[in-house]
Amino acid sequence: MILTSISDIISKYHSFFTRGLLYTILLAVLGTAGGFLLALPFLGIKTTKIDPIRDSKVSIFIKKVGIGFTNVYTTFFRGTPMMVQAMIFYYGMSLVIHNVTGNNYWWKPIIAGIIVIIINTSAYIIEILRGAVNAIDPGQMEAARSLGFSRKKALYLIIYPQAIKNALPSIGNEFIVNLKDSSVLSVIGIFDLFKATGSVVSTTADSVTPYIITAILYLTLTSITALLVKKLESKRHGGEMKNV
Amino acid sequence: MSNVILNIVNVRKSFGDHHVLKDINLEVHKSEVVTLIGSSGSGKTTLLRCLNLLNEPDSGHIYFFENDLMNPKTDLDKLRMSIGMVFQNFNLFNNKNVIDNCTLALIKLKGMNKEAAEEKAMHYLAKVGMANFAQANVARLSGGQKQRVAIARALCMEPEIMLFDEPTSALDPEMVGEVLEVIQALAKEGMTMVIVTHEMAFAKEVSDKILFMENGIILESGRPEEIFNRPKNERTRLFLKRFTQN
Amino acid sequence: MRKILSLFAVLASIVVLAACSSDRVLVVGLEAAYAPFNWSTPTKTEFTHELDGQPGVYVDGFDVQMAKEIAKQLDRRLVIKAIDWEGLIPALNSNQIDLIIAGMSPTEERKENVAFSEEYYRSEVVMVVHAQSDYLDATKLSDFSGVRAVAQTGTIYDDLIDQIPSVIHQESLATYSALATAVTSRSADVLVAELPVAQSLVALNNQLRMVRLTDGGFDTLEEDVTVAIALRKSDTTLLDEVNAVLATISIETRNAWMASALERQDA
Repeated sequence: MILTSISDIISKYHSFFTRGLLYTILLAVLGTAGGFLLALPFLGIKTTKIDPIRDSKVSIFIKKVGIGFTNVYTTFFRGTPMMVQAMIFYYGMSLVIHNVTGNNYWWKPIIAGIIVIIINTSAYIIEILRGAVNAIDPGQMEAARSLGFSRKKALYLIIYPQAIKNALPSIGNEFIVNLKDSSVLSVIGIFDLFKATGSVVSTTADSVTPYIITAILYLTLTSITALLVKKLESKRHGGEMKNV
Repeated sequence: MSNVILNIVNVRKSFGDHHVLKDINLEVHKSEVVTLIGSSGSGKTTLLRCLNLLNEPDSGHIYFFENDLMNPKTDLDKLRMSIGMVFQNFNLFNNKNVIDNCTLALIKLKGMNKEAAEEKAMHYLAKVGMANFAQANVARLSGGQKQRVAIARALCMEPEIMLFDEPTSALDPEMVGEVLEVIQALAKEGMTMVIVTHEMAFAKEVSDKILFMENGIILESGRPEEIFNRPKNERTRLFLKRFTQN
Repeated sequence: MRKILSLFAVLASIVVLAACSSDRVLVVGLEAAYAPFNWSTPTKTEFTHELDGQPGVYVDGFDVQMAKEIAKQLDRRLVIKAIDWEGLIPALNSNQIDLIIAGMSPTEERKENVAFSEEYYRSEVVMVVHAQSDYLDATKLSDFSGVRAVAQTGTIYDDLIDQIPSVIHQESLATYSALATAVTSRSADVLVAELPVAQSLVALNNQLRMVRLTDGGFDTLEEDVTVAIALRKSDTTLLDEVNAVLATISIETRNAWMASALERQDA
């Protein structure tokens, strides 16, 4: 009986699921890619070294402010639920834009949702990349400095490329997390897969089968990504340690 | 004197409570090969790393030609281009192949174009016997091969002085020879060098001056024959005894 | 002697059990977030009933008064459960609750899955707008041309939105608190809801105003402006019993209960 309802529901409401799927994938892809790009400048700030002898007082002050701001940023966006961030941002900005410009018709939930997931993801990726940079053998930086590279050049040419490559599996995992967590953005009215399922439920009064279908869809998405991440890992490390 | 390349004056360094260097004075002249020997903890590696300010002394002066590296206004990055360093653990750039390891600084710091940089790199790779490995992935090289590439990388910048931090300590015995040969050839060509090593036979063969360090001071310094055959200090004698025992 | 005692014990328990079974339970499901029909409160009064499984939380509202009256007349012990709007019909059909008294309209769609009693309240569809909006003096649908309109997920009000000319139909939201926020934050221009609910939202929030479409409102079916009690299709006996009770509650009584609920909810 459940199987006939599954094919039944899919044939009648496939457009709902497809639309929801597209929004979910859009949010996860933009969120992860955007989060990565946004994390890079913050990474640069966080890996700044303060040289008490050679830096000017102004430069030390600016560096400290930058590092402080980055810490507040990561603490806040990792420490609050994305659902709460979405509500504050979407509704808050709606009012601000209306009061300032008189027209907030262009301010749609999907815009706010994409911004929130990008910022949220960036906070996590900053920490991932920072860990990856710290894990790089200090000898790499020493060799670069001894050749005459400035710390900045050494970071950009030698350290960051290695750190980013090492961090790719973790970033792939962030993508998987985003596929699922994007569902909380439905609370501001984005038609993601979770909300789509809700619509099917209210139309069919069947609260179980649509969610089973959705679970399968999420599982398919996350499994495909997990496979790709695994492939990436093995390409770099040449196999698991279990054979040692 | 115009041929003093490095002049170390009253250098002191502590790590926390531990006084690693307790007032070092030393001059290195052009084409001179100076070797630092001593047991671990003597401060020899710390001293070597102070010479290009990888470690920062607490006080004193380090004059490279007329530039005091300790002066905050000195452009360290620029001066480091003329001081080459070779590390115990090679420290080849993992995200570049052999030839790119050598050309990276030439292209990015000296503004050379790719062809000119690669020509120079091939010249020095050939000199260390690694020309055939130009396109190789550094991960696939043996320790001895990696160290020779590291030497070529430093030589590409055509430095005034080369610093070697225990260049063969991390190598399997059968590869030590190929690296020592390269260093010896450099010495013969007149490259100014400061070497930290445990290879005593090599030290005796290649050096103009040997410095024996213990507990953060230079206990004794002199020509190899003096140090090895007629050490003045009891502790020097005790240290060397360990190596002639076999 | 022992045999007589054990026989006596068995007889006694049969009597007790028989007595207990006349203490039958009537489980009612509602959202507890749909004032003035049903809402939750921490204060116990003569109008409230405790919420099943949530000590210290009570429900009040027009639906609660209706539930209490029905339980009283049917001589059953009332148990009230709070369930999300979308979960009410599934809960009914899986026997977790016996009645849905939750301001629910008896639409044709819903009739495919449940049975409905006679109407127990009749209402009107209105608009809720921002206190500073341009629509305060509107009287007909065409006055709202081009607005961004929103309603609760899975309600008839969400379907009615498309009758507004050139409307921008925003994605529905799950709760009335979210819907109210949409209007007060100016991310939606109009919330379409029913009169008593609109009255309660406006009473609670001075940024909201209600607009009645006196000059040309929505094209609605009977089912859209009434609310009824939902039951399992198989529960035909209970359906007759509930309808019998409803027949005893006059329109005046119903309106009085609603007015009183609105007042209490304002406190």
